[in-house]
Amino acid sequence: MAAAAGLWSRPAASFLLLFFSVILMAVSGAHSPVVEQMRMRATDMLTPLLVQAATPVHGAAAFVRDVSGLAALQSEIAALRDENARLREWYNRAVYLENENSSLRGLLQVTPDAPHEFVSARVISDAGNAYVKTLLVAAGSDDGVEKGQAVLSGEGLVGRILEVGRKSARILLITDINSRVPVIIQGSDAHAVLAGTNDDRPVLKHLPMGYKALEGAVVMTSGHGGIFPAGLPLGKIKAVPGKTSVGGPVFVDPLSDFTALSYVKIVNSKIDPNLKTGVLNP
Amino acid sequence: MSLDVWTWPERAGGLARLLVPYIFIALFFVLDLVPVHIPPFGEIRPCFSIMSVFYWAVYRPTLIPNWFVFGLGLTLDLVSGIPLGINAFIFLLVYWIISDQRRVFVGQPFVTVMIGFALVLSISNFLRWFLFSVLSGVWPPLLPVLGVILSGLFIFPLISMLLYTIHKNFAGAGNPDHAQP
Repeated sequence: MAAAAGLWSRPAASFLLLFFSVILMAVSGAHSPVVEQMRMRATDMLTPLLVQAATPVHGAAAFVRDVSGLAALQSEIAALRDENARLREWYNRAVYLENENSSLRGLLQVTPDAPHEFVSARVISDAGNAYVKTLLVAAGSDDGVEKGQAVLSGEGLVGRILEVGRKSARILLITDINSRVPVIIQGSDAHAVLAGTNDDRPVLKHLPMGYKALEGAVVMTSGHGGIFPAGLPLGKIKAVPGKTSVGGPVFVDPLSDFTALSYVKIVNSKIDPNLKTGVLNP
Repeated sequence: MSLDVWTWPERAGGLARLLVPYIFIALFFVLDLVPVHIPPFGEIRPCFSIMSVFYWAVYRPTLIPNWFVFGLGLTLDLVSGIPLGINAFIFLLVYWIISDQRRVFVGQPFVTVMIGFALVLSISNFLRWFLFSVLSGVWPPLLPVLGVILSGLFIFPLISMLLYTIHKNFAGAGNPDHAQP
């Protein structure tokens, strides 16, 4: 090791490695599929280590929460949280059914959506970085996960699958600056695109002219584009003091707390291959 | 002393001296990635790996070769999802410059080391932000980057103390040539 260190500590070797880093940056910037494969292969290799490491860290985080003066209320809060999550799922389901029902009343014939299956996956790496809002989960193509599939928490839509390895997958969160989700605002026919900002709150873009957003209105996926199933709740419109103004950006408070996610549900629906490749067959 | 005359405890000690610093480098790497579930720490989590890169560059530059530093940064790039080469470039640059200028810090009070680390941390974070922005075409908000710098400065004395203990007991003969933080 010492001999190797001696050889490689030469400035020329450092310079070569720096130069190689610059080449890697250029290749990576070109969004090559080779880079994506390399990324997921490395993630697959590190997945067992991250799964093991996540357990004590999760325990330590729970301990920190426990000793922060709320220890006595912790179990009650945990039980209420579980109940709340269950009720919220029912609430979301009810809202979805209500919307679907009103739409179906207006239509005499409609093709129902194919039933979905879910893959539950454990979160093994954080969304916590200032640059990309992604999560790694310990489920991959071996478990039926495919690129583009929608990812849910108990509260609502979290994001979509960006990259898939055999044992792991990367989720692009709805808060990431590259995320765009076609949405509809509950109680109206207003369609828009929910765009991530790398901040806690994404914004609604391409709202209809003159549309007045109401605080608290639920924002749901519209199903346009075919990537996300219709009717998945994402968040609520939120007035942000100092940022919200007439004609200004409309902020959305996500229903899910991305920092507290331990498990997610991946909607195992078959996605049109054209949507994944971005190439239309003649 | 040749290896064949070493007793088993001596061999175990030698192996520990070789492995423990690397185990802690790996541990810091894992800490950079695992979910913490304590908001807003996830958002402003400091980069633990750069702390170990800085520490060993100052006090024991022969411990980790520069290809290892490059590999560490590249693996972090691969798993964290940012464009490849950014952390590899930054880690290697920090290791190269700091190990070359280590006489500025060696034997100096901890406050000097802290000032040096503050400079390295700030420049490396802004460089990471700039490179990411140029490569991805989007300019993320700067506030979380400032949070990362501040949390790194806050936690570095603790990490430095831990690395000092490892250095003293495993990574070198006798006491390291610096003041305890």
